[in-house]
Amino acid sequence: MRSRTGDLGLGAVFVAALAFLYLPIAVLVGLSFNESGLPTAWGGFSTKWYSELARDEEIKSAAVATMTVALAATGLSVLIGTPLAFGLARLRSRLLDGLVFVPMIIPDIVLAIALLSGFNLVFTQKLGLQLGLWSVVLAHATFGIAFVAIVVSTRLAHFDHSTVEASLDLGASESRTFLHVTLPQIAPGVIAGALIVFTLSVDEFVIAYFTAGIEITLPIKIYSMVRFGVTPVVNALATVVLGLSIALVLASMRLRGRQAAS
Amino acid sequence: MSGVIEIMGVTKRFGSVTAVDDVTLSIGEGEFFGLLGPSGCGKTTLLRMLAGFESPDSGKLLLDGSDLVGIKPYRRPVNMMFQSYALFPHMNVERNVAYGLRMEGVPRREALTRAHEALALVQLEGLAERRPTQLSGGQKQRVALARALVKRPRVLLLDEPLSALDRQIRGEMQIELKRIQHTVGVTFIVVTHDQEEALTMADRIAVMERGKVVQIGAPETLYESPETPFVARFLGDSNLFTGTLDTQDGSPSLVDGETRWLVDAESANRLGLVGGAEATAVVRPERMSIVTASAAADLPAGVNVVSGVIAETVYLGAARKIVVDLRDRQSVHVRLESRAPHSALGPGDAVLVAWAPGDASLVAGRPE
Repeated sequence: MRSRTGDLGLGAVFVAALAFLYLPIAVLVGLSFNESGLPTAWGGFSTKWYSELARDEEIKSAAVATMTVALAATGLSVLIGTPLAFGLARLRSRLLDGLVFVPMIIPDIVLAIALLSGFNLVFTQKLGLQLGLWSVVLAHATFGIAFVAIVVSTRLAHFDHSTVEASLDLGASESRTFLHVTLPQIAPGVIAGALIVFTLSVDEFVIAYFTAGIEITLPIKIYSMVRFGVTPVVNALATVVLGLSIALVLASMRLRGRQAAS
Repeated sequence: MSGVIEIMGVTKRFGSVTAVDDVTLSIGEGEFFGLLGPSGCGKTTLLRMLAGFESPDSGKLLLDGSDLVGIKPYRRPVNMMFQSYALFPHMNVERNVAYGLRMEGVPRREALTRAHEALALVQLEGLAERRPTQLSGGQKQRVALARALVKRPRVLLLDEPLSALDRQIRGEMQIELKRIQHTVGVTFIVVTHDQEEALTMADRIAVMERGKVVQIGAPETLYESPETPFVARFLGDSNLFTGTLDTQDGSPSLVDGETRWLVDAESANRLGLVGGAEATAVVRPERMSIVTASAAADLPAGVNVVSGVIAETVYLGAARKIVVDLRDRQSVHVRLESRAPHSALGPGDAVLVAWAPGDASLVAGRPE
């Protein structure tokens, strides 16, 4: 038997949990529009912190760096992760599957240290190269490849290989078969994987901080700004990043939903 | 005269397994040819070699006299209908059917016109815009057929075409496939493990067992004159009586312990069987009759008569199958028309089962 008081109790816990999850974000978004810029007093609605954000050249260049890294890491992950998924589907080895997915679950700090020492050894000492955005791209691709491979693998599990044979049988060469039959069937998986990698790369801090050399990505920039307290500009910036992330996640969910339906 | 397809001494191994073992076959223009056998007998491997998905380890595959070995699947004038249908899920029915023509370079408009003609042939005109997921099993099968036929291949390969369909639709499709084959005149090679399907559809059937072709012939020939116990058992219901041939008193018979079965002298001579050889008489259930003890005296001489007890009767609609346990623990199947006398007999009734030597086909050897 459910009692009325029991229902009320559950409702209270639910509201408390929601508040715990969303209140900080709501406050952040709210403060980004606060004219006074003080966390303690509401001075009226204003978009002046966004204007200030738009004028800050350092933030803009960090944003450009982050977008560049995210796009390049995503591209690299798709180019390597997709064929990898095909290989895994063919080999059907649980050990290999596990090995590929390790970068996904390994703690970021461990991956960051490993990549930094590896990059230092190979690129800095042997080849004399300076670490920079390109090394962040490589670092993000290490886990990005794993994400693309696992999402495309899920897609391939439902892929009817006889459609490939049917296409060959109907007169299409191997490359045209890939273009017209294989790719359209796995595309939702590839795009969903790419969106995940992009989203992860954009707000990734630990690994980027370790492998960026002297370059500055957006998360690194934000970190340096908040070391002396949260400014209203940071709130505005965080709100922009939040909106972008939500848009990407929604897009990715829509694609995965369509993937499940087909 | 050579056929459209000539398979000459073809062998294919997968590791230590010989899937196809020295098979030689000739398939004629416009023929509806069946490859029949249990699963794992090599029939699908043979079909896949014709399609170009496997290549033989030795032997030759000729199409219209030219060698197929080493020719890519997409360069062969051969199309295949897959067991799973293999329709492209991201294309609608019309684009699925037009795909082969588009890949051939046929302009879009013409390809679509021809696709619609092919869909009309399989009676699916109204569904051109549907996606494969919106089709029933029977409709998918028709789309797959239209897609494979639209390029007018020299040979159409069908891999277990009806196995995924409900029993009732399967019967309709057997007739339908024959009608379509007559209409288009393309050579059909169908792989099946279902003997009824093969008997219904094929003009000629090759029965395969463990990679080898054991007998080739028209359905009637295979049914009425099987050459091995395997063929006799695989095609249709049959009763097998095995024994050692005894030719001493002029009329040959098979002896098995106390039992003696009279057999046809001409058949024994044709097979070149001599006294002491093992042989099996194959009698189809409809060639056997049931008589009551009182009527036994009316049977002509030279007919095999054996007494037994009815174990079970199975009503099949037009006919009734009667299982009779014989004294020597063997049981035989007798098929009587439902309206025939004695069809009212039931389990436990003692009866005599009779068959004439001329109604049996004699094969060398014994069933395994």
